[in-house]
Amino acid sequence: MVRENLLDARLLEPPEPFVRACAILQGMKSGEYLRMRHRRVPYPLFDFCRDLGLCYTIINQDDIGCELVIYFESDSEPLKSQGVL
Amino acid sequence: MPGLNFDHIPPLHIPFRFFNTAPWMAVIGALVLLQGLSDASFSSQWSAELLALTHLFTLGFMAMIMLGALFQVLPVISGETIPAMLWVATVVHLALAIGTLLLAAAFVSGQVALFAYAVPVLLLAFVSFLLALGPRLVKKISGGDSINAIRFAALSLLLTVTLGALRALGYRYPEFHVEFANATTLHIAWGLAGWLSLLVMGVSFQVIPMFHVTPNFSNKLTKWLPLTVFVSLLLLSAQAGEYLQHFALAILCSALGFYAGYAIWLLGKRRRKLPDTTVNFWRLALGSLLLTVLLVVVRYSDQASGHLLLASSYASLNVVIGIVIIFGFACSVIIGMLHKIIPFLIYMHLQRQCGGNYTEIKSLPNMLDIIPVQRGKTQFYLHFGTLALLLSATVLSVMGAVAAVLIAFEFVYLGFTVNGATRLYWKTRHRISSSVQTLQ
Repeated sequence: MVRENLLDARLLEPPEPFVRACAILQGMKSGEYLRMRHRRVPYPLFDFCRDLGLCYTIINQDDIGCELVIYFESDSEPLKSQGVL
Repeated sequence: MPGLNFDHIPPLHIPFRFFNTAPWMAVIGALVLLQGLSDASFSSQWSAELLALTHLFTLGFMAMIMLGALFQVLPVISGETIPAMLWVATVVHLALAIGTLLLAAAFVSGQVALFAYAVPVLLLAFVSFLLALGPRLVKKISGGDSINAIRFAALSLLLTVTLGALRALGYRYPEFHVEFANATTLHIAWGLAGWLSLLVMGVSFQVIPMFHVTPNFSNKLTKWLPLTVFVSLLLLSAQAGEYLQHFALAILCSALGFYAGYAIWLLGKRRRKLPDTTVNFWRLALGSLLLTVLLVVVRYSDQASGHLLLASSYASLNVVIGIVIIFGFACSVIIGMLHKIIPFLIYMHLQRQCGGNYTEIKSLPNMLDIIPVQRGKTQFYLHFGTLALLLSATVLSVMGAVAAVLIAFEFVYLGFTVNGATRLYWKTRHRISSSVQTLQ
């Protein structure tokens, strides 16, 4: 079971969503993932993910915002079986 | 609303050279006003010092920041890179600064020969800008309704510059003067209701929900409002009969008034109601836009009705309208946005430089350290006070000198704020580079 870290950044002003996500991702270990809710696609965060070797996928996106998950590649299969991806 | 694309973000020095220059053009404007001040300075929009001040503000301050911001914004919201951006930005920045100073000198000195130098230099700035950014705007790109508003703003800029150039060259070469009705009024209308208002609208569709955590603008509004403003300006320009003109002006005022009211309402729906100087600037700006609309309606209703109750006050009313829309609306939006986007851009560029190094990211200056909250508050009070003094100068000419001094002080203060933030960026950037080299 891959453990979820949840960050709801929809009410945060820039760059707080980025700062808080970085803090979580920095301490995240294999076997954990970050589910993040944001009002828009957080492109600058993707650079940070790439530098840390993390994968990211947008799982929901509409006019109101988006939901994405950031995870270790080694956890992709368990996340699929959990129905997260 | 689409996300922003930061893959094409330009180097920070490109927008910041515009941001660092602009406040000092306004300071020059204040000094020009102070030097040429007379009892008649604020009694008519045609006084030489007021014409110079107006153009130092509209070109030297407002356009300087708006063009600099577009070099930043367009690649981010459209996902398109501007080719040879460094060269284009350098030409646009220098030509706009030099051309504005020449134009102001032409107005103040009355030496019409100077218009022949000012106009080509300013045309070089605007044509270079429009040629570089125009093709990106014509293509089908992302950016949603913001891009549509920016497209209309760019077309309005083209018309404003063309009308202004014809007018200025008419001073220098009277034999080639192209005479058509209301050329100057149309120059002002396209510049302020077109270029300025449409650009503010387009940018606000993105930045108000993003920075102030409000609901998004209504899709219908973002789609139809810029088009309505643009078409009403076209109808005004068509000179096709008095009734059509009144109708077009009514539509234009309604659209701008509705936008201002809607945006004020949206700011009231902020989900996190923390004190924020930029919100105060937005409210002052949007309130000023509403007041402008009201004054224009009163002014032109009086004229159209034939009663002419205010006819003796038209000249000073025009000056009041100019102060409210330029200083109250445009400058408030621009100064307020500078206090938000400068820390944001600096933080974002520094964060990208840190890459995945979280230790460095943690050590970055907080947004509130880049421009301290107190500086923003002081700037707001200075701006509000200056606006009040400028308006009082239209009634009491003695207040003109005080207003000019306060304009100079306000924009010196702004200049130091922008410069302080820029120096902090370079210092931190240098520190990060040294740290990364040490690790390597």
